Amino acid sequence: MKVSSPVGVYPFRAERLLLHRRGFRLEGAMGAWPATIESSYRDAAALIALVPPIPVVRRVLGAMIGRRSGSASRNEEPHESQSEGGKAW
Amino acid sequence: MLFLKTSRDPSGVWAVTEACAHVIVAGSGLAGLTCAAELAPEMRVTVFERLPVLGGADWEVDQISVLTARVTDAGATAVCGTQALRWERSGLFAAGMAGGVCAADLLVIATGHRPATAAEWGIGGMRCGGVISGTVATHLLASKVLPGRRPVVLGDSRLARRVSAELLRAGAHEVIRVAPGPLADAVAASGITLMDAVPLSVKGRPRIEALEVMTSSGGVVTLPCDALVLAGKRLPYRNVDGALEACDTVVIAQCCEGEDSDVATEQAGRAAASRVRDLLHAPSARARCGLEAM
Repeated sequence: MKVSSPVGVYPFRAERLLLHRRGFRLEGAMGAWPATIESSYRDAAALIALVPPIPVVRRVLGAMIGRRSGSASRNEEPHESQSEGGKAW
Repeated sequence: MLFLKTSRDPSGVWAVTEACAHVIVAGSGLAGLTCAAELAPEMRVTVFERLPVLGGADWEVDQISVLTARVTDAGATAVCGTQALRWERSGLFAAGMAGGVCAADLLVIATGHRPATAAEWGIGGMRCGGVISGTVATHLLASKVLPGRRPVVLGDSRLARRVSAELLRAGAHEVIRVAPGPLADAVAASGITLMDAVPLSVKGRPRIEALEVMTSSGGVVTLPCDALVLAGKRLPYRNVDGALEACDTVVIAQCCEGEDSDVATEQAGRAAASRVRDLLHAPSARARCGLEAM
């Protein structure tokens, strides 16, 4: 996996995937530099828009993410830490 | 100082095998890695790289990947994401991911080259925007930012040729390449005009509007432009404070001015390794490193 940055394109090594109620957090390193990708279910609409326009794929993804997003917003608590209650894989 | 060389036995266990000198190589480009690959089987070597991976910006180039593997297999330590800042007799002070003081006997400067600045070219005139270094131009182009639609690229280096081609690909209407003396690529690519001339001064405020040059026939010509990319006269980066004063503990692994090829860079790395061996075999160095007693 490679990631581009203002100082060039460098390898990204994924080290830990943390799933939590509001999304996921992928922890890793871009060479010697720690790097993290964090996404919440609120990003789902934008991500689905990037998927090639194959209706079945979009519909399945939309249904999956919509279900998780719905349960996350029901369980959402104010001021809760992103990593709280997470599970490392 | 006395350092211990470690090596890995066939079962993968690291063990201290002998007393040896510790050499720091600042920079992991072609010259730095060539030097480190030569020295690592004989002594303790630590390579400092300011970028996050060994090999720096060229980490994906095949030649660099091979050297990186050789260096790490030989037991050298890679310290990436860390900038070498200051050299003293006791060691190197560095800042970054693994910053601090690293004790060592010798420092190899392999920090590469940079294009000459406008002042080093002797360019006069106004201080205006749009005058940028070739290295900055490559970063801008990689980020999809076009420095100018009608740029002048100064110099006859690999960097100048690469930046000119990338500017055209990115949408520049025309690139004028200016360098004193005949240019190496005698036939210009479509859209690139070559000019044997010496830059005199820039005009324009707040942004560059023209570059005044003196042609080989002695006439002064004004070249309208909206950017000036400085990409010639490769000068060695000497950005480790205190290194130039310590000539008995510092070795330079950089090409001479005018040399601009991978072969010359590799040769500079090998020559630096040879110089390190010579310095370490000198009786004064052996005594300083604590090797005489072994």
